[in-house]
Amino acid sequence: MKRFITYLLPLVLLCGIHIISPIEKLEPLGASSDYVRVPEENEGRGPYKDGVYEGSAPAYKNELFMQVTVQNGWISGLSILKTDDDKEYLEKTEAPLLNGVLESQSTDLDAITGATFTSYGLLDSIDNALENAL
Amino acid sequence: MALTFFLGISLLGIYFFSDWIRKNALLCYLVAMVFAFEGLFREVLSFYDYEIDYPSLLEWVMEALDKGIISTALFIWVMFGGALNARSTLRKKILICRGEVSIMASYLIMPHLFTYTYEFLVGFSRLSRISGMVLWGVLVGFIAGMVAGLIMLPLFVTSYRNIRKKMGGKRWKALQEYAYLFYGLVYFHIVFEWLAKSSEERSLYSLGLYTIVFLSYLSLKLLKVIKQSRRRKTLGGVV
Repeated sequence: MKRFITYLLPLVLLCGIHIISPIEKLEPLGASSDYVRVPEENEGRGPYKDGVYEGSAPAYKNELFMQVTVQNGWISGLSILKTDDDKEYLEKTEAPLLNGVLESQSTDLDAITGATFTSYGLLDSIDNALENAL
Repeated sequence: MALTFFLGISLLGIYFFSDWIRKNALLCYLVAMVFAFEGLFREVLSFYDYEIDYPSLLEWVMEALDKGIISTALFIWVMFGGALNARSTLRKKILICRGEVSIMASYLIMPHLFTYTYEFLVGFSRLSRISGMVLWGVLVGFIAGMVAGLIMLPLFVTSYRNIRKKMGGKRWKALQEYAYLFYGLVYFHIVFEWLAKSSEERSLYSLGLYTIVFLSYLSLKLLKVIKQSRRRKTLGGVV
Protein backbone atom coordinates (compact mmCIF):
# COMPACT_ATOMS: atom_id res chain seq x y z
CA MET A 1 0.00 0.00 0.00
CA LYS A 2 2.79 2.42 1.00
CA ARG A 3 4.63 1.63 -2.24
CA PHE A 4 1.47 2.29 -4.23
CA ILE A 5 1.04 5.71 -2.57
CA THR A 6 4.73 6.45 -3.14
CA TYR A 7 4.22 6.05 -6.89
CA LEU A 8 0.77 7.59 -6.95
CA LEU A 9 1.61 10.89 -5.21
CA PRO A 10 4.21 12.13 -7.75
CA LEU A 11 1.83 11.16 -10.55
CA VAL A 12 -0.96 13.16 -8.89
CA LEU A 13 1.49 16.06 -8.47
CA LEU A 14 2.44 15.96 -12.17
CA CYS A 15 -1.20 15.81 -13.27
CA GLY A 16 -2.11 18.56 -10.79
CA ILE A 17 0.58 20.87 -12.17
CA HIS A 18 -0.80 20.45 -15.69
CA ILE A 19 -4.43 20.83 -14.67
CA ILE A 20 -3.68 24.28 -13.27
CA SER A 21 -1.06 25.19 -15.90
CA PRO A 22 -2.34 25.07 -19.48
CA ILE A 23 0.08 24.77 -22.40
CA GLU A 24 -0.20 27.69 -24.79
CA LYS A 25 1.19 28.45 -28.22
CA LEU A 26 3.56 31.39 -28.22
CA GLU A 27 2.56 33.85 -30.88
CA PRO A 28 5.50 35.30 -32.75
CA LEU A 29 5.49 39.07 -32.73
CA GLY A 30 4.35 40.82 -35.88
CA ALA A 31 4.89 44.50 -36.39
CA SER A 32 5.42 46.03 -32.99
CA SER A 33 4.59 49.48 -31.74
CA ASP A 34 6.72 52.16 -33.32
CA TYR A 35 9.46 53.89 -31.41
CA VAL A 36 9.65 57.53 -32.34
CA ARG A 37 12.14 60.26 -31.54
CA VAL A 38 11.10 63.81 -30.82
CA PRO A 39 13.55 66.10 -32.68
CA GLU A 40 15.54 68.57 -30.64
CA GLU A 41 15.47 72.27 -31.46
CA ASN A 42 18.24 73.63 -33.72
CA GLU A 43 19.96 70.25 -33.89
CA GLY A 44 21.01 70.62 -37.53
CA ARG A 45 21.27 67.77 -40.00
CA GLY A 46 22.22 64.25 -39.00
CA PRO A 47 24.64 61.91 -40.80
CA TYR A 48 22.11 59.72 -42.66
CA LYS A 49 20.14 60.11 -45.89
CA ASP A 50 16.42 60.62 -45.25
CA GLY A 51 14.15 57.71 -46.06
CA VAL A 52 12.58 54.50 -44.77
CA TYR A 53 14.97 51.53 -44.70
CA GLU A 54 14.59 47.86 -43.92
CA GLY A 55 17.27 45.63 -42.48
CA SER A 56 17.61 42.16 -41.06
CA ALA A 57 20.01 40.17 -38.88
CA PRO A 58 20.06 36.79 -37.14
CA ALA A 59 18.43 36.88 -33.71
CA TYR A 60 17.77 33.96 -31.33
CA LYS A 61 15.33 32.28 -33.69
CA ASN A 62 15.81 33.04 -37.38
CA GLU A 63 16.13 36.53 -38.89
CA LEU A 64 14.73 39.62 -37.26
CA PHE A 65 13.47 42.38 -39.59
CA MET A 66 13.48 46.06 -38.63
CA GLN A 67 12.26 49.22 -40.28
CA VAL A 68 14.29 52.36 -39.69
CA THR A 69 12.99 55.83 -40.55
CA VAL A 70 15.49 58.64 -41.03
CA GLN A 71 14.30 62.26 -40.96
CA ASN A 72 16.53 65.28 -41.29
CA GLY A 73 19.48 62.88 -41.17
CA TRP A 74 18.60 61.44 -37.75
CA ILE A 75 17.18 58.03 -36.83
CA SER A 76 13.65 59.12 -36.04
CA GLY A 77 11.55 55.95 -35.98
CA LEU A 78 12.07 52.23 -35.37
CA SER A 79 9.66 49.33 -35.87
CA ILE A 80 10.10 45.60 -35.63
CA LEU A 81 8.63 44.14 -38.81
CA LYS A 82 9.03 40.46 -38.07
CA THR A 83 10.67 38.18 -35.56
CA ASP A 84 10.21 34.63 -34.34
CA ASP A 85 11.89 35.31 -30.99
CA ASP A 86 9.86 34.68 -27.86
CA LYS A 87 7.78 37.45 -26.33
CA GLU A 88 9.73 37.08 -23.07
CA TYR A 89 13.00 38.09 -24.79
CA LEU A 90 11.39 40.92 -26.73
CA GLU A 91 9.79 42.37 -23.63
CA LYS A 92 13.23 42.52 -22.05
CA THR A 93 15.02 44.09 -24.98
CA GLU A 94 12.65 46.04 -27.20
CA ALA A 95 11.97 49.21 -25.20
CA PRO A 96 15.43 49.76 -23.61
CA LEU A 97 17.39 49.08 -26.79
CA LEU A 98 15.18 50.86 -29.32
CA ASN A 99 14.77 53.89 -27.08
CA GLY A 100 18.53 53.71 -26.44
CA VAL A 101 19.26 53.79 -30.20
CA LEU A 102 16.93 56.76 -30.71
CA GLU A 103 18.46 58.65 -27.81
CA SER A 104 22.12 57.96 -28.60
CA GLN A 105 21.66 57.76 -32.41
CA SER A 106 23.96 54.75 -32.27
CA THR A 107 23.68 50.98 -32.09
CA ASP A 108 26.77 50.77 -29.91
CA LEU A 109 24.82 49.57 -26.86
CA ASP A 110 25.30 46.66 -24.46
CA ALA A 111 23.17 43.58 -25.05
CA ILE A 112 20.54 42.85 -22.44
CA THR A 113 21.65 39.86 -20.40
CA GLY A 114 19.35 36.89 -20.62
CA ALA A 115 18.33 37.99 -24.11
CA THR A 116 21.74 38.52 -25.70
CA PHE A 117 20.88 37.19 -29.15
CA THR A 118 17.57 39.02 -29.43
CA SER A 119 19.48 42.16 -28.43
CA TYR A 120 22.05 41.64 -31.19
CA GLY A 121 19.26 40.77 -33.63
CA LEU A 122 17.67 44.17 -32.96
CA LEU A 123 20.90 46.19 -33.04
CA ASP A 124 22.43 44.41 -36.05
CA SER A 125 19.26 44.70 -38.12
CA ILE A 126 19.23 48.47 -37.47
CA ASP A 127 22.89 48.58 -38.57
CA ASN A 128 21.97 46.57 -41.64
CA ALA A 129 19.18 49.02 -42.52
CA LEU A 130 21.42 52.04 -41.94
CA GLU A 131 24.02 50.70 -44.40
CA ASN A 132 21.67 51.93 -47.13
CA ALA A 133 21.29 55.32 -45.48
CA LEU A 134 24.93 56.30 -45.59
CA MET B 1 15.38 36.59 -2.62
CA ALA B 2 14.76 33.13 -4.12
CA LEU B 3 18.10 31.86 -2.79
CA THR B 4 17.34 33.13 0.72
CA PHE B 5 13.90 31.50 0.60
CA PHE B 6 15.13 28.13 -0.66
CA LEU B 7 18.08 28.09 1.73
CA GLY B 8 15.64 28.72 4.58
CA ILE B 9 13.00 26.24 3.48
CA SER B 10 15.52 23.49 2.77
CA LEU B 11 17.15 24.08 6.16
CA LEU B 12 13.77 23.74 7.89
CA GLY B 13 12.99 20.66 5.81
CA ILE B 14 16.28 18.97 6.70
CA TYR B 15 16.09 20.00 10.36
CA PHE B 16 12.55 18.81 11.03
CA PHE B 17 12.11 16.03 8.47
CA SER B 18 15.54 14.37 8.18
CA ASP B 19 14.24 11.01 9.42
CA TRP B 20 11.16 11.25 7.23
CA ILE B 21 13.30 12.07 4.17
CA ARG B 22 15.51 9.04 4.82
CA LYS B 23 12.54 6.72 5.35
CA ASN B 24 10.68 8.04 2.32
CA ALA B 25 13.67 8.47 0.03
CA LEU B 26 11.91 6.97 -3.01
CA LEU B 27 9.00 9.40 -2.70
CA CYS B 28 11.44 12.32 -2.38
CA TYR B 29 13.34 11.18 -5.49
CA LEU B 30 10.13 10.80 -7.46
CA VAL B 31 8.94 14.29 -6.49
CA ALA B 32 12.37 15.70 -7.47
CA MET B 33 12.08 13.78 -10.77
CA VAL B 34 8.64 15.30 -11.41
CA PHE B 35 10.07 18.80 -11.08
CA ALA B 36 13.16 17.90 -13.12
CA PHE B 37 10.92 16.47 -15.84
CA GLU B 38 8.73 19.57 -15.67
CA GLY B 39 11.78 21.84 -16.09
CA LEU B 40 13.01 19.85 -19.10
CA PHE B 41 9.54 19.60 -20.62
CA ARG B 42 9.13 23.37 -20.30
CA GLU B 43 12.41 23.97 -22.12
CA VAL B 44 11.67 21.47 -24.89
CA LEU B 45 8.21 23.01 -25.40
CA SER B 46 9.80 26.45 -25.82
CA PHE B 47 11.81 25.11 -28.80
CA TYR B 48 8.48 24.50 -30.51
CA ASP B 49 7.06 27.91 -29.48
CA TYR B 50 4.85 26.60 -26.70
CA GLU B 51 4.87 27.74 -23.10
CA ILE B 52 3.32 26.41 -19.90
CA ASP B 53 1.23 29.07 -18.21
CA TYR B 54 2.01 28.28 -14.56
CA PRO B 55 0.26 30.13 -11.72
CA SER B 56 2.59 32.89 -10.50
CA LEU B 57 3.95 31.05 -7.44
CA LEU B 58 4.70 27.92 -9.44
CA GLU B 59 6.24 30.07 -12.18
CA TRP B 60 8.56 31.55 -9.55
CA VAL B 61 9.52 28.06 -8.36
CA MET B 62 10.13 26.91 -11.95
CA GLU B 63 12.30 29.97 -12.60
CA ALA B 64 14.37 29.15 -9.49
CA LEU B 65 14.64 25.55 -10.66
CA ASP B 66 15.75 26.67 -14.12
CA LYS B 67 18.44 28.91 -12.62
CA GLY B 68 19.70 26.04 -10.43
CA ILE B 69 18.85 27.92 -7.22
CA ILE B 70 16.83 25.13 -5.56
CA SER B 71 19.47 22.46 -6.11
CA THR B 72 22.27 24.85 -5.05
CA ALA B 73 20.42 25.55 -1.78
CA LEU B 74 20.19 21.78 -1.15
CA PHE B 75 23.84 21.21 -2.08
CA ILE B 76 24.87 24.00 0.31
CA TRP B 77 23.35 22.17 3.29
CA VAL B 78 24.89 18.88 2.17
CA MET B 79 28.22 20.72 1.99
CA PHE B 80 27.81 22.15 5.50
CA GLY B 81 27.17 18.62 6.80
CA GLY B 82 30.89 17.97 6.40
CA ALA B 83 32.04 21.17 8.08
CA LEU B 84 29.81 21.82 11.08
CA ASN B 85 30.82 20.92 14.60
CA ALA B 86 30.44 17.17 15.18
CA ARG B 87 28.19 17.78 18.19
CA SER B 88 25.84 20.23 16.55
CA THR B 89 22.25 19.07 16.09
CA LEU B 90 22.08 20.50 12.60
CA ARG B 91 25.06 18.41 11.50
CA LYS B 92 23.46 15.26 12.90
CA LYS B 93 20.24 16.07 11.08
CA ILE B 94 22.07 16.72 7.80
CA LEU B 95 24.07 13.51 8.07
CA ILE B 96 20.88 11.48 8.52
CA CYS B 97 19.63 12.46 5.05
CA ARG B 98 22.75 13.77 3.29
CA GLY B 99 22.75 11.12 0.53
CA GLU B 100 19.02 11.50 -0.14
CA VAL B 101 19.24 15.31 -0.30
CA SER B 102 22.25 15.07 -2.67
CA ILE B 103 20.29 12.79 -4.99
CA MET B 104 17.29 15.14 -4.96
CA ALA B 105 19.56 18.12 -5.67
CA SER B 106 21.20 16.22 -8.54
CA TYR B 107 17.83 15.49 -10.17
CA LEU B 108 16.76 19.11 -9.70
CA ILE B 109 19.90 20.49 -11.37
CA MET B 110 19.25 18.55 -14.62
CA PRO B 111 16.99 21.18 -16.26
CA HIS B 112 19.58 23.88 -15.48
CA LEU B 113 22.40 21.80 -17.00
CA PHE B 114 20.35 20.96 -20.07
CA THR B 115 18.96 24.45 -20.72
CA TYR B 116 22.18 26.37 -20.35
CA THR B 117 24.35 23.83 -22.20
CA TYR B 118 21.90 23.95 -25.09
CA GLU B 119 21.79 27.75 -25.11
CA PHE B 120 25.58 27.98 -24.94
CA LEU B 121 26.04 25.56 -27.85
CA VAL B 122 23.35 27.26 -29.96
CA GLY B 123 24.94 30.64 -29.36
CA PHE B 124 28.56 29.46 -29.58
CA SER B 125 29.20 30.86 -33.06
CA ARG B 126 27.87 34.23 -31.86
CA LEU B 127 30.38 34.54 -29.00
CA SER B 128 32.49 36.72 -31.29
CA ARG B 129 29.91 39.46 -30.76
CA ILE B 130 30.72 39.86 -27.10
CA SER B 131 33.99 40.90 -25.52
CA GLY B 132 35.76 41.88 -22.31
CA MET B 133 34.42 40.89 -18.91
CA VAL B 134 31.14 39.56 -20.32
CA LEU B 135 32.97 37.18 -22.68
CA TRP B 136 35.22 35.92 -19.86
CA GLY B 137 32.21 35.57 -17.59
CA VAL B 138 30.32 33.51 -20.16
CA LEU B 139 33.29 31.28 -21.07
CA VAL B 140 34.73 30.60 -17.60
CA GLY B 141 31.24 30.41 -16.06
CA PHE B 142 30.17 27.81 -18.62
CA ILE B 143 33.34 25.72 -18.36
CA ALA B 144 33.24 25.75 -14.52
CA GLY B 145 29.56 24.76 -14.63
CA MET B 146 30.16 21.96 -17.13
CA VAL B 147 33.10 20.48 -15.20
CA ALA B 148 31.08 20.74 -11.97
CA GLY B 149 28.22 18.93 -13.72
CA LEU B 150 30.56 16.17 -14.93
CA ILE B 151 32.02 15.74 -11.44
CA MET B 152 28.52 15.68 -9.98
CA LEU B 153 27.37 12.72 -12.10
CA PRO B 154 29.50 9.99 -10.44
CA LEU B 155 28.89 11.58 -7.02
CA PHE B 156 25.16 11.47 -7.75
CA VAL B 157 25.12 7.84 -8.89
CA THR B 158 27.23 6.67 -5.95
CA SER B 159 25.00 8.48 -3.45
CA TYR B 160 22.47 5.66 -3.85
CA ARG B 161 22.90 3.40 -0.85
CA ASN B 162 23.05 0.10 -2.78
CA ILE B 163 25.76 1.44 -5.12
CA ARG B 164 27.67 2.84 -2.14
CA LYS B 165 27.64 -0.60 -0.51
CA LYS B 166 28.82 -2.30 -3.71
CA MET B 167 31.73 0.13 -4.06
CA GLY B 168 33.22 -0.43 -0.66
CA GLY B 169 34.02 2.23 1.93
CA LYS B 170 37.52 3.27 0.85
CA ARG B 171 36.77 3.66 -2.85
CA TRP B 172 33.54 5.49 -2.12
CA LYS B 173 35.23 7.87 0.28
CA ALA B 174 38.05 8.56 -2.19
CA LEU B 175 35.49 9.43 -4.86
CA GLN B 176 33.55 11.67 -2.49
CA GLU B 177 36.69 13.80 -2.01
CA TYR B 178 35.85 15.26 -5.44
CA ALA B 179 32.87 16.95 -3.78
CA TYR B 180 35.28 19.67 -2.59
CA LEU B 181 36.30 20.37 -6.16
CA PHE B 182 32.62 20.37 -7.10
CA TYR B 183 31.78 23.00 -4.44
CA GLY B 184 34.70 25.18 -5.54
CA LEU B 185 33.64 25.00 -9.18
CA VAL B 186 30.05 25.83 -8.29
CA TYR B 187 31.26 29.01 -6.59
CA PHE B 188 33.45 29.89 -9.60
CA HIS B 189 30.50 29.26 -11.87
CA ILE B 190 28.32 31.62 -9.80
CA VAL B 191 30.95 34.39 -9.71
CA PHE B 192 31.72 34.27 -13.44
CA GLU B 193 28.07 34.04 -14.45
CA TRP B 194 27.54 37.13 -12.30
CA LEU B 195 30.34 38.90 -14.17
CA ALA B 196 28.67 37.96 -17.46
CA LYS B 197 25.60 39.98 -16.50
CA SER B 198 25.06 43.60 -17.41
CA SER B 199 25.66 46.12 -14.64
CA GLU B 200 21.90 46.59 -14.04
CA GLU B 201 21.36 42.86 -13.59
CA ARG B 202 24.24 42.23 -11.23
CA SER B 203 22.68 41.66 -7.84
CA LEU B 204 25.25 42.34 -5.13
CA TYR B 205 22.90 40.75 -2.63
CA SER B 206 22.89 37.33 -4.28
CA LEU B 207 26.66 37.33 -4.97
CA GLY B 208 27.28 38.54 -1.41
CA LEU B 209 25.08 35.83 0.05
CA TYR B 210 26.80 33.09 -1.99
CA THR B 211 30.20 34.50 -0.97
CA ILE B 212 29.28 34.57 2.74
CA VAL B 213 27.94 31.00 2.51
CA PHE B 214 30.99 29.60 0.71
CA LEU B 215 33.47 31.53 2.87
CA SER B 216 31.72 30.34 6.03
CA TYR B 217 31.97 26.78 4.77
CA LEU B 218 35.65 27.20 3.93
CA SER B 219 36.41 28.67 7.37
CA LEU B 220 34.50 25.96 9.21
CA LYS B 221 36.11 23.21 7.16
CA LEU B 222 39.63 24.59 7.64
CA LEU B 223 39.03 24.96 11.36
CA LYS B 224 37.82 21.38 11.51
CA VAL B 225 40.82 20.04 9.57
CA ILE B 226 43.24 21.97 11.83
CA LYS B 227 41.51 20.66 14.97
CA GLN B 228 41.57 17.09 13.64
CA SER B 229 45.25 17.22 12.75
CA ARG B 230 46.09 18.64 16.20
CA ARG B 231 44.09 15.88 17.87
CA ARG B 232 45.88 13.26 15.77
CA LYS B 233 49.24 14.70 16.75
CA THR B 234 48.27 14.70 20.43
CA LEU B 235 47.05 11.12 20.22
CA GLY B 236 50.23 10.18 18.36
CA GLY B 237 52.27 11.70 21.16
CA VAL B 238 50.37 9.74 23.81
CA VAL B 239 50.79 6.46 21.98
